[in-house]
Amino acid sequence: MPRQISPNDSRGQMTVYFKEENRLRDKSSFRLLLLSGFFASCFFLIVIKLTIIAGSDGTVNSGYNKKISEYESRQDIVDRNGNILATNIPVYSLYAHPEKLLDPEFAAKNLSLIFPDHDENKLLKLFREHPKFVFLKKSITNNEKTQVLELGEPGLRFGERELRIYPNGSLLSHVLGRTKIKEISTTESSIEGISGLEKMFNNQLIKKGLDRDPLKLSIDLATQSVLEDILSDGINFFNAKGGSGIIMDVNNGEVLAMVSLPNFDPNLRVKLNYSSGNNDMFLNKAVQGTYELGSVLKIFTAAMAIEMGTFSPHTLVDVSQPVKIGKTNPIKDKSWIGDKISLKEVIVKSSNVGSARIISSFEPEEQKKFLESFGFFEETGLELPEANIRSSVGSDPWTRYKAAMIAIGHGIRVSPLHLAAAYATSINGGLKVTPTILRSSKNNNNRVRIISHSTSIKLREIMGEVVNSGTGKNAKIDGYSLGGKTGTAEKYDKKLNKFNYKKNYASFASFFPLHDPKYVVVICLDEASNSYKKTNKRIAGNTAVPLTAEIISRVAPILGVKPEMIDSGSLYDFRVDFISDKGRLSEN
Amino acid sequence: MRLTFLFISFLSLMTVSVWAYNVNYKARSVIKSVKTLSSEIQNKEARIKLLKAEWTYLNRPERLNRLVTVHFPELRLLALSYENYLLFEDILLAGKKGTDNSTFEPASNKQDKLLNEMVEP
Repeated sequence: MPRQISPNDSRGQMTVYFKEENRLRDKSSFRLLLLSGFFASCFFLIVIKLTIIAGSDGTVNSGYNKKISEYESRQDIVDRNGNILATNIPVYSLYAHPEKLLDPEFAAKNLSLIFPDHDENKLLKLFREHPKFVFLKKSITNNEKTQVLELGEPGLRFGERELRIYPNGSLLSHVLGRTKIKEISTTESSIEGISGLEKMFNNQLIKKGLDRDPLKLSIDLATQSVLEDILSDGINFFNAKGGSGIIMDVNNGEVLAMVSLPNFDPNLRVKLNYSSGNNDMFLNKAVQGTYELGSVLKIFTAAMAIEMGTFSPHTLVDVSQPVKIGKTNPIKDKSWIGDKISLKEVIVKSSNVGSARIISSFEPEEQKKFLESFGFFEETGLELPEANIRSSVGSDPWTRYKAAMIAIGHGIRVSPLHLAAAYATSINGGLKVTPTILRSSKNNNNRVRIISHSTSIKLREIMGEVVNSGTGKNAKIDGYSLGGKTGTAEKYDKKLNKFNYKKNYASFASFFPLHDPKYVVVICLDEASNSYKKTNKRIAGNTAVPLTAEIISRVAPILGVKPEMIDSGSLYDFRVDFISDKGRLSEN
Repeated sequence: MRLTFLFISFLSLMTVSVWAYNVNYKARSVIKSVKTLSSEIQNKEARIKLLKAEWTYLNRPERLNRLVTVHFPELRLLALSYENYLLFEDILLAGKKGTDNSTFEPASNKQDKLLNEMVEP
């Protein structure tokens, strides 16, 4: 209790009292300062912490969430209808700490029973040599994990990871590509694409974030399956070495099916081995392989002749004599075709002489430019790492002889995909097509015109006639009308140093429906031979053409293409209605 | 006056500390349940993913083709063909004006006929 100061106190007493008071105040003010400093720093710390919390994104930072985000490390790949083509399933890795094993012999014996690829003695040796750590299996299933757990060994441990699986097996293997497991640690691993789409979109597939939609392809699973089935049957039937097939939308370049045979099962994770010769099955023949395709390229000679205005489909061409340019071998036909035939007949009868004669009225440079405009000498733009190739014509100068050879499809190596894109361009009305494997990824507003609409219509008509009465007449099917051009190219034999007539590369590039093309189909067969035919058993008309007919008759209804051109029955009227409705008769 | 102020301060301090204590423990329990839930979500998601993969595997075209062949006698499934497309006028509906129902033939009969043709030769 402070002392009351009374006015009666003496002056001396007052002085003593104030001195005492001042001393005490000095002492306590220091304490007060210290205390307020302490509280201020506490308050300051809280403010800092609050600022940090306010600035964070609100997620609870614990080890658990980290694990979840790692689990979703690779996105699915789906087809245009959402069917899963590639997905992940959780699996476990198995490793051991041998020094913690209760009974290494028991563990080794039982592990070799669960996993027959592990030898008991080798395991024991491993356990003795590496007492700290032994990695046993990259991925085991849940069942196998339970079996290992039942051994009751504390030294056997598991790591969580995921396994990329392809539920459709070898279907679409070349497009999807292959993956490998990249080991980071015993508990962590990542999947890495090493070919195909898995490689092309590796970064997009592992991207973390909210916009994690599966990668949607333009591929239609049903169409792909039918194409692969029929092509595979065809290859067996014709004893071919391999083959490829592409079905593409003629307007937006979307690839609906792409097959290269022989193929592989990406689930088996077979390694590329050049010595065993298995590299052939990893080659995507549809985009990676370039071939001298022969007569299928004659249509571009006709396209050029019509587009330049020099020729019409009815212009007569002299085919009576072989074409001889300089000192080179003359270009001739296999058999006598006639004296003078129209340009249309040159294509319908696939005359080498006619094509060479037509191209001789142009400068070689013009042909080069024309083929360039179709995109033959650039990459197609398809989203596959393997599709980085362009057509090759050799480095020698573009002489008149070379022009004539290219006019009949020799001396130029083209991939089936380049061919499909160029055919789509030539029959869709003349607008350039850039192939894509993704669903509606590119906008098609600024499309380049390559040939005029009327030239395109004339080309359709010519190719319709090829199927109607020419080399492609085995492609006539019920319900649908189609057009196309065949090609049978003799393969160059390096041993014989000449073209070997017994080894052919047969191809058929076609489209349907004839009057309003929607899809282009390119089928190529390597060394196919039709044993049911006595003559001409190797030509495309007896191999690739009937195969294409089978494919289109199966695929067209799946793709929802309305039938037309029925010869008999009630559907006949439907055809007339269908064509006149859309004004297609006026186009002809 | 001073005493009242002290008393009120003390009382508010107690209230605030009780409140802070509660909030702290509530937050902890919420964090705990979030952990449980996210673990549950993770398990469910993994399960869904596995089931989806299995479903796709069971529905792969190669297996469906095989099943169609195996169960052909009962199911009689055929590949889609151009004949499956009809004009609306061509469909004979019972009771439709101008149609003679006596010649009406159900689609299944037509299919049977087609199958017999396929099997016999």
